[in-house]
Amino acid sequence: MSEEKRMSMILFSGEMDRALAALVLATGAASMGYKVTVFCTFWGLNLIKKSEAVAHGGVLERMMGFMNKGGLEHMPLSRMNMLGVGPRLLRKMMRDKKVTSLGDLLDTALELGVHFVACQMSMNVMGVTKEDLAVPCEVGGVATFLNEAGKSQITLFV
Amino acid sequence: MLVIPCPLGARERERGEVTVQAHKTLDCRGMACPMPIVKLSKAIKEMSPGEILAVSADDPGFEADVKAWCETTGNQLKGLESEGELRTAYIAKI
Repeated sequence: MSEEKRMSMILFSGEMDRALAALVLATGAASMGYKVTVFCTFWGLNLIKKSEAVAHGGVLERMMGFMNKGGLEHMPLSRMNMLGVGPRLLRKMMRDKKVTSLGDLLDTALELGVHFVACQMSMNVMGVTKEDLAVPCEVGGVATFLNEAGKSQITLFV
Repeated sequence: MLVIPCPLGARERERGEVTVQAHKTLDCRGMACPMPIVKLSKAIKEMSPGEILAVSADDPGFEADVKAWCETTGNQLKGLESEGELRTAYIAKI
């Protein structure tokens, strides 16, 4: 295969279980020689947002930022969240089964050169600035993703 | 050349069934998906073409994953030993 292997992923979701799936796929693909791009949009921004980040803008943006905190530790589960008990239980179950934590997987992804792109439009809507992002990443729009996706053999939406 | 330390594949070695010898060994016991694949790809990167890496893991998905990893990356799977839950893969770097 002479063509460079690429995988492009849209992370739309902000739940811990979906972020785990995205990070396992990203690190796995990077380990298999794929150049990986993860485009974080909407709730998916929470994966790369600082946990202490405060939304900028008007009352609505700040209210949304208060209810939609960034960072791995604030992520709910997509099912059986049980007012925040679910993620704690799942973290314990993952520890017991020696599954790598989300934080370690994110570090591994960065170490393997996984390229994160933050969606400029959703950052603007939600009052997130580049300084609120916790990982080194590019800020881009739909063309940035589609340009990358067009060159990819694998494209995913999580 | 290194001989793989015990107990990885020790029984087969005693019986003289092991013909592949590794230049480097990697212990991924106790690790869950995707870490064995992440670690083995890091280890292979540091090796020279033709050298053989022995990777041991007890993750139930490892056997299928190491075969798939080799098929995708083009590295050669020289052999796969099993001892209970443990799987040891011998991979030649291309």
